[in-house]
Amino acid sequence: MIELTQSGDTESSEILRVENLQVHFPVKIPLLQRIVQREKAVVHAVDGVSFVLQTGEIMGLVGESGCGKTTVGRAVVRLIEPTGGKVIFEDRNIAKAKGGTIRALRREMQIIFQDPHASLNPAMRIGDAIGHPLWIHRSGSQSRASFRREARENVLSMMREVGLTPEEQLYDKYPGDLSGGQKQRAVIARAIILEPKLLVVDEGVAMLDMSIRAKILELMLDLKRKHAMTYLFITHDLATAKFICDRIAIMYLGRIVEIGPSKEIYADPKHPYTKALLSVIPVPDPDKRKEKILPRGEVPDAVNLPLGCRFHPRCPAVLSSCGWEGRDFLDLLDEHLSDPKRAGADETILGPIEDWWAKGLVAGRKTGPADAAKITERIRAILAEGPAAMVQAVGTVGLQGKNVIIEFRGPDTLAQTQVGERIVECLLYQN
Amino acid sequence: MGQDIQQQRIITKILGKPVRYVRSLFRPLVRERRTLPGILSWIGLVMLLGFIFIGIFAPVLVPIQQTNALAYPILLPPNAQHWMGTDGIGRDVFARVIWGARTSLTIMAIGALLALIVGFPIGLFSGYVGGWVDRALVLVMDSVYAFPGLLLAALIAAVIGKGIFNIGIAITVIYIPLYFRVTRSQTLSTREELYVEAARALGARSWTIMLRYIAFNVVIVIPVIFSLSAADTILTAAGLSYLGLGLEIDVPGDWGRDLSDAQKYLGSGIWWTSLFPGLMIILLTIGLSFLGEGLSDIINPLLRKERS
Repeated sequence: MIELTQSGDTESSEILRVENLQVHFPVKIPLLQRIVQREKAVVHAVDGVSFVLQTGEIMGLVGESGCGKTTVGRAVVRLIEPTGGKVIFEDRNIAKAKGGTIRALRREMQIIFQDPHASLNPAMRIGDAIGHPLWIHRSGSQSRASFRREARENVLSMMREVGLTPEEQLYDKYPGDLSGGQKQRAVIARAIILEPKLLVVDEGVAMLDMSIRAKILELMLDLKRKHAMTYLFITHDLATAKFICDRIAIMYLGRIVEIGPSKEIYADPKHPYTKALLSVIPVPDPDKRKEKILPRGEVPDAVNLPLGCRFHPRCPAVLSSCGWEGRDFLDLLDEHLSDPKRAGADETILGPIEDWWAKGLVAGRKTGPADAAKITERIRAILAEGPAAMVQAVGTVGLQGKNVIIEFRGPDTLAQTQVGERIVECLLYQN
Repeated sequence: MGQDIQQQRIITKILGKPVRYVRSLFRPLVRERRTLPGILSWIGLVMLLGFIFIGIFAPVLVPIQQTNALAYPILLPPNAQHWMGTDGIGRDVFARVIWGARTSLTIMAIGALLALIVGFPIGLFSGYVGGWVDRALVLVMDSVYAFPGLLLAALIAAVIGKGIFNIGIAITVIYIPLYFRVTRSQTLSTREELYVEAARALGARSWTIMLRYIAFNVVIVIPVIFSLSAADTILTAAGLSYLGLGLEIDVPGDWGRDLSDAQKYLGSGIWWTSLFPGLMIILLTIGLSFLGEGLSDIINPLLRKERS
């Protein structure tokens, strides 16, 4: 494992260190099936994520929907309990902290959600909502009346600070009476009224109009400077991340594939997935059409993860050692058979796709020795249509017992590699 | 000037919640006044208000309480002096019908209020906590609910005795499961709202979340169950009185009992002693049903819209 801290920068101290964080959600399956099946099916929402946040920086966590970035954010502020790994906040591992400890932690770390409207209680006045954290974390010594006065003053000054003016009038309004931008300002005010050190912003501006979005982002930058906060900024919007983040981490299927200073990553992405993501950012110049590298196919499901590198079935720069396995052949076969132009008589020779099975590195189907030669020949022909790296990864094709099988060679071990100032998880950069 | 503002602030602070709540109920009623549910609710509301008026001002409308037998000649048909005639023991039917509104509304208020006071918190708690506590409570409430309502009320009334308050309690027991169920299901969906998770992220305790974030958003369904169950309450109370398990004989007006007393005269063509109390029961029940059905049609889509 490579040391993840940034070397050379001795002044900053780390505020948050996430080590090999795992969050798995159980898949709901019927009781009977659960008994028969034995092994538990889980969604690997986050599967081994590590990063370090320095005090005062803004780190972006970027990825497609469903890649687990929100789950990382929720696990960091302990709205959910991680399945494994460590979340070290100011030298304390809070991954397994319980009720009271977590509640006390909320003073130090706060989270802002995507939907400002849904984050506010419709039956609570804006002023009360912003001031409620003060009441929640009130220590008993002060009298209620004087605390109420103080809290009100505190709320009003916070409202001025986030631009919720005229604050006296807005104090008594209900969320339904406010605009989207105002609601997001209120949510921000509520999150920072306790002066937290770490703020997790989960798609904080995604639901706002472009014009308001820029204003809110600037407000967040302002507040960060004034209150010396650290941001973990979760977004799927690379343009926003570029604007606001010092460092970014690119996530794919529950893992960080590339992490480093955002300038470097935007200027020269290394991981094929990052390249693909960056190539689809729209450029505000119609004459300057970039070539878009779109990954093939769909994001694989997070219950049965691909072997080796998770991106390998879709990767444009894939190698033979990236983790080809039986399932990948079945996908290719399925694609081939469902295209009437290419399939021809193959369905009669190879049989329907349902007859095929895949287990680990091997895919195959039951057959008699008579057909074996014919099937083997067709398999080789179909393999030739697939990616070259896949063909190179094939170990054996042939009859084994009663089955015709295709066996792939196993993948090389994937490790995080330091490239310049960033860390990439890709075999292309491994020696 | 400054004092005025100060005073106003105190007033809004004290009355803010209820006033806003009532306003939030009336706003959809005003907006939907031209649709069928809106019209139904308004008719129901006016009828209910009419009955409440009669109930409150019964002593003014008919100053004499008709409890004594043989105050007037028996079984007089409706005439100028006795608008609805007199009954089998010489009481003025009109007076008893008017006072009966007071009795029925009191029972309804006691029954519905007690059911609300008990059912709402339990439903809230059960829905929020979940797990085996929730399952146990649902089981208990369902078994009460499965029991025939009138039978259960009659059983309880027989045990705890007659009287307005006791009948109120007997009826309460039937309607607690109704309040419980609706509150619970509303809590279940409110619990999943983002603002509840946001409150957890702020560090709020479960109690705080339940009382300050969930209760106020669940309470919106209460008027619907109230007006739906209220109609039923009237019928059940009348039913109990009809069976002789209801109120004492000296109550100045009791529609169910009067109906029960009147049935023996029906055969001899004396219709006025049974028609008028019966009509009142029907009218009040219809009014409350209109209000309940209308409100539930109006408020349910609102709830759906809010959630989406």
